[in-house]
Amino acid sequence: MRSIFPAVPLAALLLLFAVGEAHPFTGDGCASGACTDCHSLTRDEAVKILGSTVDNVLSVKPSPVNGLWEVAVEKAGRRLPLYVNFSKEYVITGQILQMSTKKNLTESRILSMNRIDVSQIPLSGAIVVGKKDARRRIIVFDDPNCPHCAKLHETTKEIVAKNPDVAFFVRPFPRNNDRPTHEKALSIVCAGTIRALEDGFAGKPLPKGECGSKAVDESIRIAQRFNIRLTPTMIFPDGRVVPGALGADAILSLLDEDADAPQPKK
Amino acid sequence: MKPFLPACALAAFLALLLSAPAAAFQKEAGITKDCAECHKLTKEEAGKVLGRIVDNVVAVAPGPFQGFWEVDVARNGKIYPFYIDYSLKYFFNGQFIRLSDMTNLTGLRFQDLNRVDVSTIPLKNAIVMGNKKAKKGIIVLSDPTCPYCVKLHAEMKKAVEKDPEAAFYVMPYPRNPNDKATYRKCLAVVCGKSEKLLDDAYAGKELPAPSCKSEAVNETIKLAERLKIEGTPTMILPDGRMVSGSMGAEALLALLR
Repeated sequence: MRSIFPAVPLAALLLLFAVGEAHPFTGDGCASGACTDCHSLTRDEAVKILGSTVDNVLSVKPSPVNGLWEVAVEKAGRRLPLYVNFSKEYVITGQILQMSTKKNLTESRILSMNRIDVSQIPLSGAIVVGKKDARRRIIVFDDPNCPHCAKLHETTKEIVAKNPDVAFFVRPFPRNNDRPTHEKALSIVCAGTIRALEDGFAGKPLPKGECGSKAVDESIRIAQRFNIRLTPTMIFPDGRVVPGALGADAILSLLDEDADAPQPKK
Repeated sequence: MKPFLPACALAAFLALLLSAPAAAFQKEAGITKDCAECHKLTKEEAGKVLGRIVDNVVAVAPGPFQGFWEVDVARNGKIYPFYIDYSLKYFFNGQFIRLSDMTNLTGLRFQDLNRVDVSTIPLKNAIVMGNKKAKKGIIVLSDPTCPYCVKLHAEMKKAVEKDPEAAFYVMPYPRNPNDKATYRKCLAVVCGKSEKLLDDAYAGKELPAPSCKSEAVNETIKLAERLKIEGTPTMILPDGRMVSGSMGAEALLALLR
């Protein structure tokens, strides 16, 4: 069978489309880098458009969704993405879910934007669940009286049993800074054992902490500095701060997303 | 040498590319009629693609601007607008805001989708503020002990002074049904059926004991349940839209126009 078009002109024709009008409509438009050929939004423009509704505009980049910019802003000390459409007439605040994966893209961006410098948090004085020298270390702020912390603790034990490269460094932290909880946290720090941590969760009496450790005060200072108010709160190796007693799958998938973790040594 | 594509497939390919750009570019030039010419989404399709994320899709409509569908989802007796983009890959749970006047289009849509039939609301026990012969007024469910209701009451007084046509039908409503003291206050106002008692209630003054055994307050509580009213103050506009919270006199009058 012969074509009415010779092969070369056809290729040329397709090329023409690829250069010209095809871009906006080839399904993945922006992913191909084509949207930004025609559309632009500068930081200054974004500042002007959003006005006083935000405290600061940090950056502008194409969002995962065709036709929308992601504008990273700061509001009330927190960073979050807003979405401005290409015509610059509308802004969307809220959550974008990727339907195929059910993943909340906005929430992951928020976690990523609000990362902290993990090296500012010392690991000494922490109770280690897993191997001390594990490659992937998650710091956990646990209140010894908080039931969700006890729940997360069970999950962390499950995780380290199956994933020897993961460890949790638990900092006992009296979130309301009341005397009895402060003392309890100090008892756990002084004992330095998982057993003491679990006895604390179980409400069993603990020996008075008389080791003179400053780890609990340090936890309170760190929590204030990084605005950690809820327990449990996990701090991932790349600095993402994640509150809540997440399930094992959720924790592992957050770890796998971690782009900045050191590569495994072979 | 063999061609990449048979000729008819090529023709179809070109037709596809040609028809789509034409319409899409018109839109950018300000002609907005034709999103629906190229993009279609039925309620059933939406239900299918959203099955893993939301259930009970009741309607699909064009979104607030091009590139998005609005998907209306029923939950707990209310209808909520969500959005999906034309690629059907992304789902939006959020507020779409028009920047020129900072109008929350999602909020307006929510009000529109959840209109109530005003004619089913009995007004015989409401206290009328403003023009007693007004053709249309705003129905207000309001708790005399709620600070925003106190604020709104003052603004309503200003509004009826400014505009002799304006009217508000106030239905005293104890938002916490277990709060007997507030219930009695509401009943005292309903029994007295006077604006003076209403003013006194919002001013926090002692009210006389209820002088009647009216069912009016119970009826208002039932009404609030039926309309899924969760906070006070809540206003019901003549066109059936419900608006929560306090606002200034001018804004109130704008709602009546």
